[in-house]
Amino acid sequence: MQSLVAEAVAPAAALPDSPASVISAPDPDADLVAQWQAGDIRAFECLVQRHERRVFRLLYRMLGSREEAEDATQEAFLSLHRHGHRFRREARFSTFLYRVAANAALNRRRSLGRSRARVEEFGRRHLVGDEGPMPVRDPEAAAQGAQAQIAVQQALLELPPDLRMAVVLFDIEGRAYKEIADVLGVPEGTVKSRIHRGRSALRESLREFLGRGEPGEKP
Amino acid sequence: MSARDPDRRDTEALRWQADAGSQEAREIEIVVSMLRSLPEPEPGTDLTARVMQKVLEFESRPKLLRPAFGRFSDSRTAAVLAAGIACAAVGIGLQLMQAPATAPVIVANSASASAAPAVRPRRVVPNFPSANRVAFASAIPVPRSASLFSGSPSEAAMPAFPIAEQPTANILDRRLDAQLNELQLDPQAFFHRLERVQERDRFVQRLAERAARRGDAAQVALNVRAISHPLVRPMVDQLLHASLMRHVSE
Repeated sequence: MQSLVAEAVAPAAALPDSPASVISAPDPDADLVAQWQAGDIRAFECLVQRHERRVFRLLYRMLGSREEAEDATQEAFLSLHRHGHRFRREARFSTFLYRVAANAALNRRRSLGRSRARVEEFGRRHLVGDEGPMPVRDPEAAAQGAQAQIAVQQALLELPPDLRMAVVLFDIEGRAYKEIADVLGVPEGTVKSRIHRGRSALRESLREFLGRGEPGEKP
Repeated sequence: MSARDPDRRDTEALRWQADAGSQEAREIEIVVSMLRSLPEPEPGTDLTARVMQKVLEFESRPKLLRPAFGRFSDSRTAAVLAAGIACAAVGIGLQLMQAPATAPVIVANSASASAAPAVRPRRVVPNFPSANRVAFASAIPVPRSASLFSGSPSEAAMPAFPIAEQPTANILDRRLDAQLNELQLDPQAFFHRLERVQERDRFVQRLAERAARRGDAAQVALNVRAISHPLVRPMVDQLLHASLMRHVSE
């Protein structure tokens, strides 16, 4: 109960406005969704092609491994196909899909139960250049940038899943509070609280890169 | 100590809190910028095909069994289940091998049988071309039901939904197509990400050229021009320019 109260009185005002305003435009996937729900598998394939990258990106940030993210992406789309009839088009399709992907990520993490190993694996792969490109050109900056990126991703993986999901959706994917609230099935205040707590935890984890010493040290 | 000292202490405390607060805000700003500078991972090029293969496999299963398969779609659960089924099959097989047959045909004559009752007689199937075949060899059950649980259904069982052929265009075009998709699906989020692209002008130019090659540059420009973002204008200009150049060259 106490945590619920804490979330409800979160310092929401301290957060900046959402970078992406809620878009009231009609859902661009509406036609394809209608065709798919009518049984057209090609329409579903088009939906997969449209959205696989953003689902993969979210799952990669949540799981920290390319293979896990690809497996989870497949599971998410299979789950979407199985439960597609539940989508009543009250929200945007992309929001529904994010919710399915979020559940896939949380289920997978629960079944994995080895976040520490995953963090270490991520660091190792990044060091051997096996986890995606580093778009930095200057060699010195590249070395520093790569180190910082590894540290950020590791810190992200060490966050509790609910905080991480909120931070990833807001700060990396640029989703609006309302959409995140719909995806996670929690009130907007809770979303703001989770983002704030996630950012604060990241700030503590990344103090080395913020020019601060050990925690508790007086400036 | 003067009478104003407590006030001064309070003021100092408040100032210290304000400083700490502003420092925290600055540091959180840096953290957010670090998060936004993370490289964007790219999925494998055949991810769509793999997803569709999984979906078609699921579709090809009998409808009654689909909920069960859905539950066992996790690879570890499936492995545990398969191991359990294998153990059960081996157990049943062994039990059948050790159990006496209901109506065995005894090869040995009755005299020798009564002389050596401790030795378990072997059953022989009579009246078959290979009549001396040992009968318990056929007592092991044939695992017909195991085919229900096999991961790859036969091609005959697959429905006739064709999977789209992989695009023959190069990877760059495919990525640009994906970016154009993102741009039209969620322009706000796209421009938000575009802010942190390093060679933005070049990227926008390539995007516009790709859209022009596809023939929908003007349509994309029309779709995104209503968005309020400082980068919309250059994007629309590039798209229209590329579209115009394409038309002129044709």
